[in-house]
Amino acid sequence: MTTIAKKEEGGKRAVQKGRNEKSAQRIWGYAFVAPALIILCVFMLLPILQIFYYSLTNWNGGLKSDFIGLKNYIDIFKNPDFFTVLKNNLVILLLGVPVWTIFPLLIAMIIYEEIKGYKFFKTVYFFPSVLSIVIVGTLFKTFFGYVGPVNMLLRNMGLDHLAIEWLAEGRTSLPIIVLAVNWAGFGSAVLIYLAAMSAIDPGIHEAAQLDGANWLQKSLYVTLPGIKNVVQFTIVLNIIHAFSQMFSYVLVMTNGGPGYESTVLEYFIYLKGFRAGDMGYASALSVILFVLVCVINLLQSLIGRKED
Amino acid sequence: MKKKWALLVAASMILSTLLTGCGSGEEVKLPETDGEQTTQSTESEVSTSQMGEETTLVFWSIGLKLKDDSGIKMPEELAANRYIAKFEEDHPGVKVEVIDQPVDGIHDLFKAANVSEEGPDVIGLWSGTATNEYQDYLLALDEYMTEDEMNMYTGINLCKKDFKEDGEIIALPYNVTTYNIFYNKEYFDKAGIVELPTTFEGLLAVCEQLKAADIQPFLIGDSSGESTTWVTSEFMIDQVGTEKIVDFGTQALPFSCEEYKKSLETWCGLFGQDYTNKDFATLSAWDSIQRFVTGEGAMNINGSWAIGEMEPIMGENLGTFKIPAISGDAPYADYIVSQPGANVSVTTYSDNKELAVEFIKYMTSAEFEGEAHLDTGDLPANNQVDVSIITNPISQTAYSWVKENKAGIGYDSVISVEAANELYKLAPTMISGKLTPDELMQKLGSIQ
Repeated sequence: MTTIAKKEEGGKRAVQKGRNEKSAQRIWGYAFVAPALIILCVFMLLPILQIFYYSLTNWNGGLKSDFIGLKNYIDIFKNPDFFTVLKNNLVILLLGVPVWTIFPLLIAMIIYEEIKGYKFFKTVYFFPSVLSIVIVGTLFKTFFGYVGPVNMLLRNMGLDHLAIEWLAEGRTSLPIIVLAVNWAGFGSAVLIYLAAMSAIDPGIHEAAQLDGANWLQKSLYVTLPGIKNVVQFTIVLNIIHAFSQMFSYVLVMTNGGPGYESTVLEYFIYLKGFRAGDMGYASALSVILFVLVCVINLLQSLIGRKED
Repeated sequence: MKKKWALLVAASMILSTLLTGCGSGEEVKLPETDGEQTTQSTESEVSTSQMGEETTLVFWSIGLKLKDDSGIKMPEELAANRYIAKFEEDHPGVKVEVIDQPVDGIHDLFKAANVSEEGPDVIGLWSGTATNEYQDYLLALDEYMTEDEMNMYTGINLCKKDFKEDGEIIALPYNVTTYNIFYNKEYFDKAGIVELPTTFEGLLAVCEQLKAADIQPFLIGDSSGESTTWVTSEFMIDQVGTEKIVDFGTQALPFSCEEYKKSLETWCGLFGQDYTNKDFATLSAWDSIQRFVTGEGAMNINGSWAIGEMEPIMGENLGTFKIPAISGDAPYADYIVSQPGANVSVTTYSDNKELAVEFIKYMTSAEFEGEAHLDTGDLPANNQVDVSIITNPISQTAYSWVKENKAGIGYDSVISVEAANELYKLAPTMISGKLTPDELMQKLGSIQ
């Protein structure tokens, strides 16, 4: 065999060896991912698919499960409490998402300037994130209770007319819940923003400063565009939060009351499924929640893509 | 070769993952009997005495005091633990495995356990619908009890299937409860109130007197609709009596009835007149106890279970009277709501039915309920209890009402769980004036 032919043969063997190695790596990868994937499918995907089925039945959580078609959905849309609950979720969405996005962003921007004591503030702002939701909820419930510190302060300041029963009405309890969520979660969001900001080339900031840009101009025209993707991601997360992370706060702070004034969809699902034992109805509510979150996120990503 | 070993390891990991949690017991083949081979699971939750092995009774408990949160009494000093230990002592080879279940979670756990029939032998539950909804899984006890034994318990009808007089007994009660108005004697003296009210009109007059003496008449907690339910239950009994109240469950007596409307409207008459604390809609009845005993409000609506919390702090300053009748001319004005609070049952799938029945009789015996009263302050449901064991004057008063035998069950114990939950949820909204009694009645009627 000539040298060239030998080299060609060697080259082909090398390519084949490379392909075999890649194939082996792929098989190894699948093999080691398989257990986790199976667990995910069995304990997450399968129950999710089952919910779609059970939403079409009158399942009571036990042995009784007869197919009833769309009756659960019809009953849900006939129930005025459902629309009250949906309205509450929308209030939290419209109030909460801007607060949970912008507030930590402002804090992150200030800390990014490395003001005196910024390391201390970074730690302190993260502290509420490590507290359990039950503790946060109980704290805010106590603070805003009729005889709590907030009302005591207002009374001492001569503002008795403002010392109201904050958690007794939906129009005040929902903003308090948004506040509680913000207090508990803004520390993590600050860290995420700071991490994104630190990835911006410092040279751009220096150039802007040399051009005479002040802090506000640098923030708006350099920092913000630089972390746009992270802000969008945070908005998506907060939208999901508004629909799927409110349960514990509502349970601890208001129990969804009075009536349904502060009940959110998650809590409504809990009431129907676990208090009333109507798992079929609760499953239908869960499907509606799932569709709602998907639609909102889809809209949000479409708007984001359009802007790009 | 290396690849084959790696694939083998991965395959065995997958297999072990799939097998984990799939079945927790091994099957044991017993010797053939009558030509058929039988198998029996040896899962630890329900095991039977076979060939001299230990018998385990699994007991899911709520309603029994198994530990003292105040730390004053050690667990082994509490009556429940002592009696369980004594039962084991008297039955060699028998172990009672007590699982103190969370009150909120026990229903879901029991429902799930019933599907697979892998639940407890014995279960404690709250009385009423909370027990009745599981009637298909609870052993009918009539064939295990004598007539005398059946008559030993106050409020036993609430422990029968569908609460019918001739229904099968599916539970035995641990205790019996009353609904009370507790009052601060010092405040009543200060306001010059000498006679306790027996009608709602009289109660409103007392409120006026207290208000005139610059004392807040009521400290009410109704965030979960408790006070509304208790008071309107009393009003319903006043009007329809103890037999007809059960018809609420079947809606032979509908939510739209005049009596219920009158009950709700009368109760709402207490509010909006500065007779109560402002946060009644967000304060629970249990949390209201703490504020009442520290002097906020002259009166508090609660149950006999609160006596143990109030009396140690208020001592002789604490008084109690029955929730006043809806009106003096109500046909059953001198009747009250008194019913078992918690009860204990045997499951139909228990492999140790006779032993389990013996156990629940033991845990609801006069001796046990008398001693349990000393731990908890709960009024005994067993009417054979030596009443001298009840030394607390407030408990004595409440128990004397029970002994009058003019008591019926609360309607929330007989309506569906869904309707009851809706009532508890919407009651604070109603007394806050955001929902009318008519709207509440309509809502409940559409659910039941």
